[in-house]
Amino acid sequence: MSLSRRDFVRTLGVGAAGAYAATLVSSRRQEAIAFAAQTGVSPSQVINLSNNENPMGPGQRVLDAIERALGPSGAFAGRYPFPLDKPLHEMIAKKWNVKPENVMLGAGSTQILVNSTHIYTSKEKAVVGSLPTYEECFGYAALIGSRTKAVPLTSEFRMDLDKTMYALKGAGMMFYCNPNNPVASLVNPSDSKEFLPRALKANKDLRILVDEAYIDYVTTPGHETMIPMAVQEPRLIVARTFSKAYGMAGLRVGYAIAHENTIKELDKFHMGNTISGLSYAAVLAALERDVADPSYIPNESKRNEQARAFTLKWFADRGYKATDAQANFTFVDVAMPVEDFQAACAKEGIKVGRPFPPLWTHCRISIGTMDEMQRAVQVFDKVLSAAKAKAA
Amino acid sequence: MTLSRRAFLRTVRPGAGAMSPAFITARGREALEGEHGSLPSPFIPPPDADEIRISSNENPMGPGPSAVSAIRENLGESNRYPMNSKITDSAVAKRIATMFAAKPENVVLAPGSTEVLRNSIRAFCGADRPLVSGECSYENPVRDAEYFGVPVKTVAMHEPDLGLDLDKMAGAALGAGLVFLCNPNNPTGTAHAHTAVADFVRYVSKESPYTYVLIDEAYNEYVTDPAYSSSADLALKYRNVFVSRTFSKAYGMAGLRQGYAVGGKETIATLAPYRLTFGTNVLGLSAVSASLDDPGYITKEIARNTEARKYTLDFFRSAGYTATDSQTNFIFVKTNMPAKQFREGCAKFKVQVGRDFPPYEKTHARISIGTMDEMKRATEVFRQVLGTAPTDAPAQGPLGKS
Repeated sequence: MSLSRRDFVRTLGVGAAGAYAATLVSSRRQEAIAFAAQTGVSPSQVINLSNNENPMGPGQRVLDAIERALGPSGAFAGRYPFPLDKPLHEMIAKKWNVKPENVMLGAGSTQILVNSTHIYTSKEKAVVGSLPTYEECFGYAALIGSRTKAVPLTSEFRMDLDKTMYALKGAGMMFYCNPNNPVASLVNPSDSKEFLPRALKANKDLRILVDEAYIDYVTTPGHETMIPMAVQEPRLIVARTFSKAYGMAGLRVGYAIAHENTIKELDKFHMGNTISGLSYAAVLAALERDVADPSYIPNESKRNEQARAFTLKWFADRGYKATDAQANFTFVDVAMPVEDFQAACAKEGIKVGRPFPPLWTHCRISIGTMDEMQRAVQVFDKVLSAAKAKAA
Repeated sequence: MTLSRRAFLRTVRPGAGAMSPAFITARGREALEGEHGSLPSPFIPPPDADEIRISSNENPMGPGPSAVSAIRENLGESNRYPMNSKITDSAVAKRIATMFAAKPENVVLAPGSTEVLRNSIRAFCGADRPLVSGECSYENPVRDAEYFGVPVKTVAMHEPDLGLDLDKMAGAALGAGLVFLCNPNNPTGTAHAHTAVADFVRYVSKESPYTYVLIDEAYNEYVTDPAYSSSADLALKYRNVFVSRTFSKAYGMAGLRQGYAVGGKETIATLAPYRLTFGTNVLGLSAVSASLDDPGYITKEIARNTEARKYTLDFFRSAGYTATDSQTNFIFVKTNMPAKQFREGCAKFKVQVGRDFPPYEKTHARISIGTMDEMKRATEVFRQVLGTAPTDAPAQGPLGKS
């Protein structure tokens, strides 16, 4: 991973990066399609540690809110959710002490990522992100023919800010996924604070999309949201999701916080009416809970931290190296082809993450409940031991 | 709002969360209500609400007991992405494909058919490949085309029935990227016979083989004219034809955002990359799956709509107004007054009716079909708003026209 600057420049070649992004698109589609058939274990026994979902779900209060919205007849589900759009913008705005005009809703933060990539990148103006990172922006850029520049990570699997700065020349957008999926690492908080304004200064056309999907799971002291900066700085957008700590991956709600004018720019391309009425009801209840029960999400983060620490210690005790995980997943060098590791675990009913090129021996393992992780490591033990025995 | 506030208060109750009881004791219910007094209720509309929402072609009955049970049973799947939930998106696509004796690769899901319409513009149109649409048809494709820099050719409606003018649209289709053929047509409510659509498709496919035809069948289930049937067979037969469907109408799931396209493998593969990743929510998927296994509910819903539609049309006709031959869950009535005036007049009585639909916004109103009870109350309001009744020649349907 320690590339010289010249090697690095070659890595950024348009053709190579474009081809890479194109393979990402197809791998994402395959993932979505191939899932059901992977294992021979009965579905209720399967532990899913493959997609960074929150095993606790959205919480009883949210489930109650969905039930109530649905009502006995379910007639609510027959109505377009338009009347809930304004209230949800207002509640998100209130949470962050911003204006409703600073908020854009999406069907998951995915839609925010797509909107931003569509508006701010082109054949000339690249999207810059780390290699690897969450693929949505690169994948969409490849679809519309925008240039992509993928920047290798540091030896500690963090975003390489120096190399990124170099790659930002002439770029349209930087995708700043922090904590970074799939590698789980966080940029040092003081480095982020220093780097982001410097990047904006260096490239006057640059937009920065800060993806904070996993921020609630960060345990590094001093790490803060970039939302206050997003409201002040028209060229910085923060994407948030209810899919992770809020436990609603299946309900498809995310949002952007940005300057009013930036939201207007994104809105030109935005496809509305993608969010279910039940999801509106769920998210409204979750935001209400943030006020009434402010310890709920921090408690979820603590639960995750414990199960994450258990999992990381298990691997460390056995000599496997993992990144400094700041999310609800870990990124572990399993010292075997990750495809083989994935397939062997699947046979035992444990679904783990797919390969994230070019890190072919690293596995992304999502954090389930403590009980699930205790069961999962037994399978990991079996799979890794078998691989070792075979190699010996 | 009283009901709403009370409903929201119920979220803060013992057992709902470790902090809530303490929170309530410390702050008091009144303080909580004061603080959150402006919070919305997730109820829309409450069952006993005075308001009659017949503006967006929604199904007032909702998705029915099977779907509602399925949603309740799958609440625990809310934390799973749609490829991991008990009812996966690919399972639903497969289930839908079986309805057409097709394969999963013939189907792409979408959060409402809106996405299919939009992605069709992106996939099949361009600066030199225009969109063809009826002048008074569902507006989204035209709006999307304008955004994506795609020229639009609109074809005037056939008079006097206000159906799509298929002959003229066929002419306009030559060299186009996409024809948007909304059948039944929103907002005019008219439907074309299967033979007419088949003739149209055959002609376009022969004369302009690179032109795609998107047949939007959002209102398919509500059609009662025996000459009509779905064009899904054409979509599977012709390389350049595909059909969009939604669960927002007869299936009563406008709020759940579920739709799809069915068509040839290559066509679907061209559309699929444009879809939002994980676009369809899991509760909606579970509702769709249960609904497809309960066709009896849809049969009942169609009968209910047909009866309320007839009642409403009879009201207008007996009052001397003409309306198009509606095959949908809405009607298009020549009220002889600007839609805005009619709409605002009705709104005063808490009856919400459709928006302006150019070029008929000076004379016509689109009115969705609510429950029979709602239509009885609404027609009383219409009577007041319209005042004295003018007379007009009866409208003819477009069926049978090639």
